[in-house]
Amino acid sequence: MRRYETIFIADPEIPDDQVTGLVDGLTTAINEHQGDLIKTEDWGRKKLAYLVRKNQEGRYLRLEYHAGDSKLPHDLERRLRMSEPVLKFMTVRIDNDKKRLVWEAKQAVKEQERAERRAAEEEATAAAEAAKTAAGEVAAAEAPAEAPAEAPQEEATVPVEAGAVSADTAEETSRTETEPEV
Amino acid sequence: MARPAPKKRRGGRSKLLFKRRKFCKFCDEKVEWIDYRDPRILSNYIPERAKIQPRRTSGTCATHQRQLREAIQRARNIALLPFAL
Repeated sequence: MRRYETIFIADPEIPDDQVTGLVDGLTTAINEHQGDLIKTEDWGRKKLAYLVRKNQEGRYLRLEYHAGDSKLPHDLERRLRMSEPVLKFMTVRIDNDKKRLVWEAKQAVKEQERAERRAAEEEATAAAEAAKTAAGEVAAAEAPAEAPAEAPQEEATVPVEAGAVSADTAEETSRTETEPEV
Repeated sequence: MARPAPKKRRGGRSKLLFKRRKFCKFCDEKVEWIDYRDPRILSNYIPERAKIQPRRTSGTCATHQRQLREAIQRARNIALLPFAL
């Protein structure tokens, strides 16, 4: 079965529910042709490199799917051409691009590793915080004279780790997040 | 590292003596596939008038130049890169 991706640019001014309606329409078309939708992506508003129907910006969306029968890409393109808020679209066949498939597999592995690392880091910070509170309790309960020597050291290590994690997640969200509608 | 050492030219004038040898950046970084959806990489290869930079200036190898050309053309089609400036 052939695999395709279709990127299309919708009018940036249309409301979100109309965008979901648009995507739903395309999804039903895929299902009608015994296709199989793999992924939908919303890249949000992006500046266009040139004016398209007098628009400076566009909302990018991407669909990835297996085509059931060979008519599916045609039908999808026909629908996109006829729908008013779609500014531009492009369909690319991806199952015959071996280099790309290798690249995608590696990206997936990297993504998974990153997620695992993030989970581990979160766990570590949670553990550190737990240890800090526990240490504080112990220090408060047992030796008041020893506490000033030990506490600052604990506090110094924990915020650094927390900062690293938040920076990592912030980068991740900024890449996937949808820019707000004006 | 694929980066070749600077090559001295025999018999050349002193100006040419320490000319840096060009190398393919994609080979250096072991890029398997150039993503046409990422305009940040591609925009390095479309100077000034947004024309595709030739191999003789960028030093890109034939394989990667072909991939790069296809990626830039696709990106232009979907308005991620300009056709001309």
